[in-house]
Amino acid sequence: MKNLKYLAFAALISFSSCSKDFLSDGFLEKDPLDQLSDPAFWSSENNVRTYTYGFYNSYFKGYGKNNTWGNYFSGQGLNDDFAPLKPVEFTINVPTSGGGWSGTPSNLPTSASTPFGRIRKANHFIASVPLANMSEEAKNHWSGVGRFFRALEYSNFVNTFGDVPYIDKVLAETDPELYRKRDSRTFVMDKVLEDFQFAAANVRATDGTAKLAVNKYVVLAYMSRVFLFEGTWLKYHDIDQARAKTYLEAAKWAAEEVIKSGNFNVSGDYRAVFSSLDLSSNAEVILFKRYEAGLLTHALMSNNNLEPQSGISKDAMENYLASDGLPIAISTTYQGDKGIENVIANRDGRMYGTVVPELRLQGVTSNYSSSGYSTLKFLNEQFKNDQMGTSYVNTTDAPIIRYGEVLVNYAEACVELGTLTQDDLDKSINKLRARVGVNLPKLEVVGGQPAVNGKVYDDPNRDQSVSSLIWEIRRERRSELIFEGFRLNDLRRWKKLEYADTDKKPSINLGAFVDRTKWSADQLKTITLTPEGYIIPSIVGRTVLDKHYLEPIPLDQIALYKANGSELTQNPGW
Amino acid sequence: MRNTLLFSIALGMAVTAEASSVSFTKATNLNAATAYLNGRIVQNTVQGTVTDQNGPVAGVTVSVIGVPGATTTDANGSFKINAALGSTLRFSSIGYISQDVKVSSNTINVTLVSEDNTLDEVVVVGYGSQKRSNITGAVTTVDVSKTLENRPVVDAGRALQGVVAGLNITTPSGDLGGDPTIRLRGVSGSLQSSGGASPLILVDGVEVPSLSLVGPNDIESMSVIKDASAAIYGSRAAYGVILIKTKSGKRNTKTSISYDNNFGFQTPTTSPEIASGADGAKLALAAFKRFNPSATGFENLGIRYDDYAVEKMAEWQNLYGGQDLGTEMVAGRDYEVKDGFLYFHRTWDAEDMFMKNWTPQQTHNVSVNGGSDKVNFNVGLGYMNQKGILKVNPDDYSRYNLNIGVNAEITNWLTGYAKALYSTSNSSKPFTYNSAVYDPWFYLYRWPANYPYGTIDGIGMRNAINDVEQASMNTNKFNFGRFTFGGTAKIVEGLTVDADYTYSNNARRQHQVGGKVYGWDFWNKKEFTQGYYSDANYDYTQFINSYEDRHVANMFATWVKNYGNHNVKVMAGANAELVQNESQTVKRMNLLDYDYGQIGLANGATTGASSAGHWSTLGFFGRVNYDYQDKYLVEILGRYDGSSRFRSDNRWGFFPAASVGYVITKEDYMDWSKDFLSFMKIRGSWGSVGNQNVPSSLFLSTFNSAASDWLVGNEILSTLTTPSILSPFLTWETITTKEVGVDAAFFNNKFNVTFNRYVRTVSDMISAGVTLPSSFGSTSPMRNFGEMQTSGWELELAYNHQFENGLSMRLSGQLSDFKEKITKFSGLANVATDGTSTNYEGKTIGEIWGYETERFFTYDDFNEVNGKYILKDGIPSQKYYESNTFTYGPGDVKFKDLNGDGVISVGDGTVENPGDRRVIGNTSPRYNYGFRADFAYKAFDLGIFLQGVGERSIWAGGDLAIPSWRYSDAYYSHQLDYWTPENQDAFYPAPAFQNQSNASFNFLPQTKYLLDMSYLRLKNVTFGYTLPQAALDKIKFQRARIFFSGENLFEVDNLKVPIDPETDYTENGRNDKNSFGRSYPYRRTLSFGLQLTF
Repeated sequence: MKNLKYLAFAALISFSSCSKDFLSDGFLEKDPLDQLSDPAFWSSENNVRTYTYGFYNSYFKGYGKNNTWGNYFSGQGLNDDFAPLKPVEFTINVPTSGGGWSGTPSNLPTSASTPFGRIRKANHFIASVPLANMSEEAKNHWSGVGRFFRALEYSNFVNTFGDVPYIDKVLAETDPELYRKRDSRTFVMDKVLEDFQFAAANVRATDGTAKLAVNKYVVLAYMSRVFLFEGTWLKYHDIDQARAKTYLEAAKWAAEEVIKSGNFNVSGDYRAVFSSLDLSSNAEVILFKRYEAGLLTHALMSNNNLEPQSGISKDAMENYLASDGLPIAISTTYQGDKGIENVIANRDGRMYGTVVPELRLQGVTSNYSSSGYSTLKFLNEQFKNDQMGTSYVNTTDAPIIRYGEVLVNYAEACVELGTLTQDDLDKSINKLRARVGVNLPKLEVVGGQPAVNGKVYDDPNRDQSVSSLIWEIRRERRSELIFEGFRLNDLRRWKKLEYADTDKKPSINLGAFVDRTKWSADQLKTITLTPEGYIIPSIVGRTVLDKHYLEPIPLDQIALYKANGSELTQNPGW
Repeated sequence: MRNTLLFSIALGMAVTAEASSVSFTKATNLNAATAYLNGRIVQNTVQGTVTDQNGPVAGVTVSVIGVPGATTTDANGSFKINAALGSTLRFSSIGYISQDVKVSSNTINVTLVSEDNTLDEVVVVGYGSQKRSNITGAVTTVDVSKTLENRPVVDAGRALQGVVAGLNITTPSGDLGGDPTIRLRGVSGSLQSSGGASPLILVDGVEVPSLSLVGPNDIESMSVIKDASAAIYGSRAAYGVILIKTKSGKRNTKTSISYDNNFGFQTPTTSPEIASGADGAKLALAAFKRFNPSATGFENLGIRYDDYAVEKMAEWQNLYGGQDLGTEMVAGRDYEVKDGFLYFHRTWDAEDMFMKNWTPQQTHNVSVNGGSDKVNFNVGLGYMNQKGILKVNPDDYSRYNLNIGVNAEITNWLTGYAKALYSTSNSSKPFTYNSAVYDPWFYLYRWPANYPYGTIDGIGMRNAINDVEQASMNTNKFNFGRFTFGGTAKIVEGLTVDADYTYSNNARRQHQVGGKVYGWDFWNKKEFTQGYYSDANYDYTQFINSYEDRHVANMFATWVKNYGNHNVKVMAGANAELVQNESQTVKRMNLLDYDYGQIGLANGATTGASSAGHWSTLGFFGRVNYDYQDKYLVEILGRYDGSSRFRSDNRWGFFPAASVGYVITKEDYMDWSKDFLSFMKIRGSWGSVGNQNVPSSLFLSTFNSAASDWLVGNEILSTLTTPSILSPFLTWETITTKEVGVDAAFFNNKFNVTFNRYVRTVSDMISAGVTLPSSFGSTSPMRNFGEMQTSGWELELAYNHQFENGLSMRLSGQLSDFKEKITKFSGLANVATDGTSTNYEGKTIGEIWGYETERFFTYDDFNEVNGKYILKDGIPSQKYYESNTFTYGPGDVKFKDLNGDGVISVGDGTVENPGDRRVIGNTSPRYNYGFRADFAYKAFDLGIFLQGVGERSIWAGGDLAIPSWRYSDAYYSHQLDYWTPENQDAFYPAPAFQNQSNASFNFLPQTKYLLDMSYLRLKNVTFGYTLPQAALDKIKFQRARIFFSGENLFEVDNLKVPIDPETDYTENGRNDKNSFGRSYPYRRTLSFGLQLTF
């Protein structure tokens, strides 16, 4: 018996010592095998570069992915370009939470879902770049890229809500800055301007794959967009005229830098910019998003082709000039609005890259348009019947930012500054008018008035509160950028949201003229027509209120600020 | 080093604590009896054999009633005892019903009947076993033979449903092969517990990932430890333990071979019925016109729905309804293009074309076991196959289970054993040309009845059936292998040391082969085109492989000692586990040939991913059991646990538990009750255990790799997520269970009652961090804050009775209830419009907020102005929920103005001011119950098993639960009873497009349309016949039984929607409300089988 006991002891002790390594504290040390940790990650330029792709999806959505698309085409339907069956509405109630302000931020790069989440990501990136082992030039470049993204985020945020708290560091849980009150939009946009200026000075002129990575010209092009918006907003909402001028000058400067670089040119084919399988060699493209079968596909093209559409409003159709360069009201070549063939005869060539030359009526065809007028801007005619042209497997590349926009930004900044010269027009808008297929005569400025072939003109349908010259620049912008997601922001910054009100501007709820003799009464019974025969797409209207210029702040955040001794003010009217 | 030391000390203590002088007073019963009887007149030696259904039984206590002393049967079941003629012998043994036999001759042979719930039963508990009457914790044993054998269930998990009080087993759909969800005492357990309150499943002491890995026939015993005594297993047993012991054969039994089988046929329980073409289209038009009054119709996928369509569909129904027209579609009759519109007139029964009414299932089990006096062994082999319900390319699930065990006495003090467990399963189902949630079931129930399922020129139309017909089969293979070596050493009498090591490996291999589907594409086309219509995105082959290695080592010493009336048992030991896993995925686009899904046989882009992980735990545990005369019972245990899931500075935790029991019937003063109260024990326990079932990412700030959706060349660039923000102070959650219980037996143990009342508290709960404003820009880091309580009770009843005529009867039932409540929490208490609420203090988990449905609006509620209905003054307005195209009118749902403020609103969206909403239901099941009745008469046996849930509700989404979810999708027959001016007494309101929301317009969460998921189900009926001994002898069988068994035979529920009451959102559908109820059907099973023992 005793022997056994000793034996067991011996066995136990030897087992214990053998297992020393196995069972020591190290046994419970199990670091993750498939994740990288902060800050060790910031070791090389390559890692820094990899991290920046997480920003791309937040700002460069392009045509989206699968069944979603960004602001292109019907991605942004709340404006006067569309005449839908049922107008898209402005926010109705103040949300209890979310509303684009709060919510649960996700860490996923593809769905970094709140402004502050993306701000935190940018601030963390900007703070981490100096850790990497790379040259001073590289550090400045990547800091510039980080500040560019932060500037984009704040400009979007200000765009939506107006005044917002400005946070430029990674906040800890206990930082009093968490309850920072809303800074004025001018304060925030001054900071945004600093970020853009730094980025413009430091981001490399070429980096990564051409047209697929952020470089100096991407920064400058966005800078012209952002400060044209903010400059005109401050001007027309009469917030700060001095700053408005500064911002418009910044927009002009940035656009001019892009123009001066000589790196870009207007594409020979307007529609090719929106419907090509490959944009890598398109001279007009500054940055694009690539799509490839099986890897990344979208549905914008098939939606443009096969599905019922929210059609173009009669108002938008009439924005296009006639081929003599004059507004339709005073043009001698305009054929009138009865019949699609007449409507599109002798017009701005961009119309042919935008509008289907046939009517598609509800009750007659399944891919009808609410207004009768359909869009083909994003449709590639060659592949529209292929597998690729259907469902959500479209592979046409999406322009993210293009030279054409920079040119209209430039012209508008000049005209808003009151400095627009013929030279300014010749290097901007007139380049677009000279585009193959557009065939419009040059826009001229004579004594501060618009002119064609030396002859001053004034559109009788002009909004009388807008000068004749600005009116024509805005027209050019609308024709060039239609369905690219700009219009609502344009109306907001010009303080012309009333254009989107169906009561104040009934023409936005009108469509094509329908010749009652061409179709049977049975076919047309779905469509509401005016006595003269124009389609009324929607039987319900949309009213615009002043409060709609800015979105409401969610209630939960207001309550939370209050509970913590701070204050988060609500936007006017909400 | 510290831990090595602890380990040695723990074991060392157990060894050295062994008392030096132990004297064993093992009474030789034969002598005692003889001595007593010496003075008597009659002396008589009685001998015989004791057997049970499997052969001789060793260790049966044989005593003469009224005479002290007893003997036990030897290895051959033989006994010899002195007993006078006319005296009565009592045969008793653990696990058998005691039998009294009057001595009428010198030879008495007795067959004992096994008893499943006697108090002497030995119950497997953590690292040991215990007599049931001495248990102080809450442990339920499962009647393995009744629960697992004879039933046409495919795995032990499904069979456990309704069997153990407090154990909730659910399956979200009837899909083949999936694991059921197993929860013990609650559903979510704690707010961050991944997998909720899921118990640890241990097979022969080592965790298995799924209950389906053990063949139901290989299980010898199963017990469920529900209370704090599970703490002996440490941090992973926070929600209890299911302990399974596999069969191992018995010493000194003759080798026997058993074979049993079961052939079953399955048919769906309930499935939705799509409304006929005309009825559906009429309803769709009404819903569409509600927001588009001027419209005459609409197109969906280019198919036109208008009055003409309705008329033609009705006409088709009149002319051809009920006829077999074949599948070929005839232009003009079945479809036409008229005025530029595409119409489909014919009504199809897609379900009938798609699903079989009956599908087969079979199981076969062979086992061989036996033992000599030094070795016993068991080999079990099981096979199971289930055929799926699809008509073409049917899905299929099959599984093999192998269990081999051998146990041998190596020396007289050392027993060694080796066990191998192997399971391989293979399921195959057709490839889905849509994302996983939109499987063929989803599409089958998606389109209206006129959606074409036929052919033109023999070529199929674009539809789910055509997809399935052309699909390759996806395969999902799962292999599990496990090897255990261990031994028990008897160091000295009373002291044993057990040690074992287990290696297990599981590998899952998935292979998906996509491709393209050929057929007539008619979507948005007036002229159909023949070709490949499926998305190019699905033209790929993909392999997903994952592996897991697990090493488990246990060592513990047990010391048992009796000092007169004092019985002491001490156990101490250590446990170490190490788990490593990895997975790889590779996918390549553009297959060359859809029959060959290999990476090399494709020419598109290749993408891949991989992941890897590992974790380990180390624990030192000890337990002391003490009892005085089996009357006062005390158990104290503790475990010192370390887990790699936590950061090194707070990695270790100590978790104690204690319980006491008082067997009141052992007290003399209770003698008065002996006539009816045979046994009564009052128990109380308290214990706490750390919960390591938390996401690993909570403790490390890491970047995860992610796809950026930014393409350069043919590569989607990788990027990384924003690193997570973590608190440096985060540590274990502590789960404390307090419990009192009573075990009682009445009328000579005929009637048994167990009642448990418990409160389980999760403290230091890992919960959402301090509420921070959104300016923080990230989810606030998790912290140990808050408390959640699960409080519940369990009742188990059993009644045995043997009638004079030989009919034996056993009735047993269980009922349990629980409620999970957040008792401490910091966070905004908000109620969302979809009826869910954020976490807040006082919240009952699962609560559903909604309105009270008052009635439908009537014409009297409105003034009609210019064709518009304006609500009369004094009637609460529901304007908050209106839009520019939807305003409430006659026939819409009118909600009750609960707060009397004259409007229906959400208040300020908080729990304090929820407007007119209140809690209208809860998704957690209440009152789970099960009831069994077993009868045996001569050679016949009958078992009936009922199971149900007393209270549960769901506010579901999707077309099936919410009519007009999408106006252009299918309507179902049950939705045809909708409000119209002529049918104002309808069940459903006036049709209106819901815009894919179950939180808008007429279908805000509300009492009337809340799905009542309570049910009572006849889960199983088994009828068997055992061949009599005489017949068996002739054919040289030990046992032969034939049985019929039915599963899910019928149910009683309160559902007004044709879904099975057990339906829930599936794993894939959890984030997509569309999918509710449109999933693989639940099935009834009718089966028969044989059980043979040679």
